[in-house]
Amino acid sequence: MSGTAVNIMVESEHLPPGKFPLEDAAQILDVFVCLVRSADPDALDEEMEMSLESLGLSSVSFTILLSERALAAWRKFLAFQRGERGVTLPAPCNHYIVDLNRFINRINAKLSCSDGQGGFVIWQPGEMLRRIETLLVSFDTVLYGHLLNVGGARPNAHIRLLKERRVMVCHLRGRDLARQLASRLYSVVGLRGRAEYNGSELASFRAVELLPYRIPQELSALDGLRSIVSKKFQAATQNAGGAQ
Amino acid sequence: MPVAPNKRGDIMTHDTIFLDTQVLLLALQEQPPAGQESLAARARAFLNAAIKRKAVVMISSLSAMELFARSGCADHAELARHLGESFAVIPFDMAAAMAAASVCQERFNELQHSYPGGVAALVGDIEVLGSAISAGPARVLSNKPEFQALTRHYLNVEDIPELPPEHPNLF
Repeated sequence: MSGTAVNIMVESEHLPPGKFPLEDAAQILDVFVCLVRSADPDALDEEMEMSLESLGLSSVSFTILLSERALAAWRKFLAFQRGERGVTLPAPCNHYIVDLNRFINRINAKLSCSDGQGGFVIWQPGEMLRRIETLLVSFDTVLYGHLLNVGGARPNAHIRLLKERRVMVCHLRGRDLARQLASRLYSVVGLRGRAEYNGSELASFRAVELLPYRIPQELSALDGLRSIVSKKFQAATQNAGGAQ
Repeated sequence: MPVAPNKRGDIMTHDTIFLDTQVLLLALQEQPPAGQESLAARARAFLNAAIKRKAVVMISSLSAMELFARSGCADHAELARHLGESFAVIPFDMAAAMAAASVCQERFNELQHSYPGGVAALVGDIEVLGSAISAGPARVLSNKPEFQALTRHYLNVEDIPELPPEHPNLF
């Protein structure tokens, strides 16, 4: 397989000498693969070749051969990590970055990543987490969308958002809410809850309440609303006429 | 659970329409103000047609505020219930605030110089537009030229359509 070789090196002086756990190394690689995939879902269509370069006393080094497309996604991620202006990553990346940062914080490791052009990005513990936290904004809001699926041991709902037409997995507060939603399957629902935004992109949503909204089935659905509005408008008009 | 083909078809075909405050008010008044009867009839016909087509009709919570302001406190709860059941009410939340702020920043000079009163006079419209941008409807319906001009840069905006011509009885 051809490709550009990039190197990932993890050094941790806090690990016992010669005991760098391979499962930790595998976790790091897994996160990097997820990062490249989330930046470009088709970037890793082909098999990826990787080799363990060295397993030192307190370090581990990998070389990965990346295709042109995967390399572009990889460089975009590194540019973001360098803090280059105007570089943004899709929302799912944030979760992987937070995972990775928590991991390297836990083992107090230093990460060096090559960009395939002789450059390196060094990642110190804690740096990225702070940046990510400043990018994510969470607030209470409502979402409307088509309910495609609901269920799960930890209840969640698959909703096709009206705004972006993308399917989003929303976490639900409890089984009661899941049951309420189950009766509205395949219809448009409104949910109130807490949204987490990455810039202007919705990254996650935790629903706490099902809103009463339903697409009206007939014109008479608006009769009640029309009668209240018209009653008050007539009164306001009469009052205005009297004042004149 | 298997999904009937027509169910899946329904899922993909809902239109999304965002109503400007003025259109909402016109569509809901049975006796519109003098001189606006024709406009109100068009707005009402459009809303009726949208409901028949099972479209998702969105309004801003700021437009709801206009209705609350015109009704007595005793009616607020009932009004809120009706609005919440029949319309997708888009709150003016942080996403809407950020969208509205972006509109202000991007178009400040133009708005300041092109409209009497500048940006300050357009704050209400910009806030409603912020709600619309955060909701992302397929189209926005407005009969207000300033709002249309403002919205055109971000969303597909339309005037209230004319009523279809009445067909003569050919028999």
